[in-house]
Amino acid sequence: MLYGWAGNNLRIDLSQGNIEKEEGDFKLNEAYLGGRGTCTKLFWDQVAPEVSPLSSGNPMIFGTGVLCGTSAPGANRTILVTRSPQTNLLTYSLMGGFWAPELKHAGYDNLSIFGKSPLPVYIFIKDDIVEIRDASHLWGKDILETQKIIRDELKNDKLQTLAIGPAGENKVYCSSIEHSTGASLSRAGVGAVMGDKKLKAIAVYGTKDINIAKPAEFNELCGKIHKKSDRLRTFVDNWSYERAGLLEKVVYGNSDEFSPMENVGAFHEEFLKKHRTRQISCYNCALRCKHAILLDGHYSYVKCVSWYSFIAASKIRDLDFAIRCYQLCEKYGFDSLSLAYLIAYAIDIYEKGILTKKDTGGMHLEYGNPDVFLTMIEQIAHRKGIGDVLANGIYKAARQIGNGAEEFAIHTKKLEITIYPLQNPYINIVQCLSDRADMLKLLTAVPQHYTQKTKEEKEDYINSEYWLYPEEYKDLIWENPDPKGGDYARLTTFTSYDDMLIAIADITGLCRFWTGFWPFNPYIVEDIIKLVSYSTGLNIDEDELLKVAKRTVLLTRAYNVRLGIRRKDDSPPEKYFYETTKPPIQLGPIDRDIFNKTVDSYYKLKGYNKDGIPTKQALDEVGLDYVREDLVQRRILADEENKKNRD
Amino acid sequence: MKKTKRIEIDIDKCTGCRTCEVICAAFHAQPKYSAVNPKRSQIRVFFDEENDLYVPVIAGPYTEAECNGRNAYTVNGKKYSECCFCPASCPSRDLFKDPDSGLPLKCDMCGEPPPPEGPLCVQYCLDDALTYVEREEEEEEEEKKADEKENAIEYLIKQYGLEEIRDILDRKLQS
Repeated sequence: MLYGWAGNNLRIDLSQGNIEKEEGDFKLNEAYLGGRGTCTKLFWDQVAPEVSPLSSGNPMIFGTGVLCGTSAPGANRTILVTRSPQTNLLTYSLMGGFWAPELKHAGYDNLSIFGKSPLPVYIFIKDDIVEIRDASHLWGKDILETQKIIRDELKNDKLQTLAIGPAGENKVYCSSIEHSTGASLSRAGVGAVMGDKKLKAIAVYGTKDINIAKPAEFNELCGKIHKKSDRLRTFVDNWSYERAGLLEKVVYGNSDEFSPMENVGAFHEEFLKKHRTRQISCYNCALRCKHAILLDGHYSYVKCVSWYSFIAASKIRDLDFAIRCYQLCEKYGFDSLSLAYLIAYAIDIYEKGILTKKDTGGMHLEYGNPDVFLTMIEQIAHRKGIGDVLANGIYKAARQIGNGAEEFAIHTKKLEITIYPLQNPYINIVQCLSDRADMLKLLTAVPQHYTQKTKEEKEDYINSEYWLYPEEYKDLIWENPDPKGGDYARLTTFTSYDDMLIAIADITGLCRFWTGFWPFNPYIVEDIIKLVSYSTGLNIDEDELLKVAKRTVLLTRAYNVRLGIRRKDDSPPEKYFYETTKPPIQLGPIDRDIFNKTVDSYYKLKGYNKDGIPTKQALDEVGLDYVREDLVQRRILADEENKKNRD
Repeated sequence: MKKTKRIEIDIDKCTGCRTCEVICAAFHAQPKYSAVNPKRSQIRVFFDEENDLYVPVIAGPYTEAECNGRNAYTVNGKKYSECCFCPASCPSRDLFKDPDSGLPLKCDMCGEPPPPEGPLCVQYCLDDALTYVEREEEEEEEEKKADEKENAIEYLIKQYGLEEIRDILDRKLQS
């Protein structure tokens, strides 16, 4: 009997209408476990880097973590691995919700979708029944409508769906793939890939068991972790933007000016009191981090930066307005961060005279005007007027507009930045050095919450049951950070280890909220090792689990190295090295020497050479010989060796 | 008066996390906790995200025929079929039936006697949407039950006529 995994892979070719069910490769499962690990490996094996993102050769590989579908608390993450049309890199996207467990119960650990359908279709999976169905009646419909029609026509109100809205259909780069209740796969144009395949939705219903190898032990530990979440629940409930200081420094679209938000705690509370009807959780999770907001007769599910991205971008201090924008994001299928930034960018270059009324179809762009935002969202979703240009993402749009627009386009690896300033050392390394150029969910407890605590609080933490890092890191948390931002060396130690922890979460399907994004994380690495061992029957130790994580991280990096990613790409935009932000909050410029040293130390910890390429040694250590061979064959690694000899 | 303990559901507190489904399914797997499959759960959460409605429904008795009632409930201004909140395992749907065997599922309060801290769904519901409370119930008296039988026969006689019922009873008695 197979334990822990569902046991099958599903492969659908939309060009030919071919559906294949393959038995999962146990050896591959053992080496990559699941989730991001397995999906990245499948991608590496099947797709050459020469394949372009918007072609039938670029698959969307949906995966489930190895703990998804079991009773492990918070194990509900769906992962998508694909090539991004925006960054042109291998990218991955994760979401909570209910979809991954459902797919696993239908009998599949992952689902690869190749090809392009000539006509709009959607995929229906009910256990062994897999159908490619006509979706011409769904094309153009918004997300909730699509879900409703599919559930009605298949007469099953418990179907779990993933769907794109008009934004994805029109291949807008900042589109997302939406699931219900505020979960979506987003960033880097994943919705556009789905739209390009003319795939409107994937509906799943599964009725099969996931077997557990060691039931009693597994259940006991799950119960313990479930109860251990109590402290985190209270913490999350009482968490306030104001106390966290997260909105004291948020950047406007032009990123050289700040919008400090005062008294945001009371402001937020007041809104919640008026509009929040309840808090919502994902599958088998007790944290209820999403807020159901009733505004203008519609419910939307909001969390994280979704609250404030539009406020920061528009300079309109009004949550009603922000939620109205967010409702449109849920309706059309948008990534709210990129979208907000793009509109602010348009306003910024309009004010600078680069965009004119001729370009905008007579519309006067300005901050502080809600109508500008609401209109622009519609225009981008349907690729109308200037929206057609902005829909190509910040990098391409700036080039299309020309006339100096590129100078003001702020992006890392061609992806729009978030509302947090890159001048902050922590935000900087997390955003710039990450493979998908996205800082969200990469943040973790230690740098976020413990660097500025009192001595007693720190003592409590390192001796508590929440400590996540190797013993020797305990010495590192005593010193408070250098206010001038020269604290990179210590941060890289944590962030590089965090990268492993994040990969572990992505592989097992555990939400980062349970594994270290917040303090009081109910899981520590030891728990995850035990749960994976108990559920699959494998005998995994810490060393092996970290190796799986490292394998995943290096594989993603190596793929992107094949696509040309080097050290120069792991850097903030050039102007951050000499420009200071406008008063009253003046940050920057970033010290180039310190930054370079940081990158050096980070690369060393990750096993990259000075140019950001994984070294032969690092690859061999985790058993990625085939990657080493490939990189040598492509003269990527050999080049580096030659260079060394010349020096 | 007899005191019994029942599960009480507060749908305003439900967060839609389905932890109750997961733990119920795991507990009732054979052997215990050896498999997870919410479709075998004896509690299922009805969802309507569009209307902010999350209703845990606990599996009730098996019914041989689907009902001809199908009343509509209006919640927050939206109409729902009675089926959405119905606990019965009935021929008209897959809910509360074992997905492999098709056999009906019914809540067993986690065995006889129930665990002192309450059924597992209650124990795992950290939001108190499910609580285990004591209720007083009137004990049904024997006499009353006899009344009920007589009522039932009278109803049949009214419906089909005395002659027909007597014929049926005769046939039954002879066979």
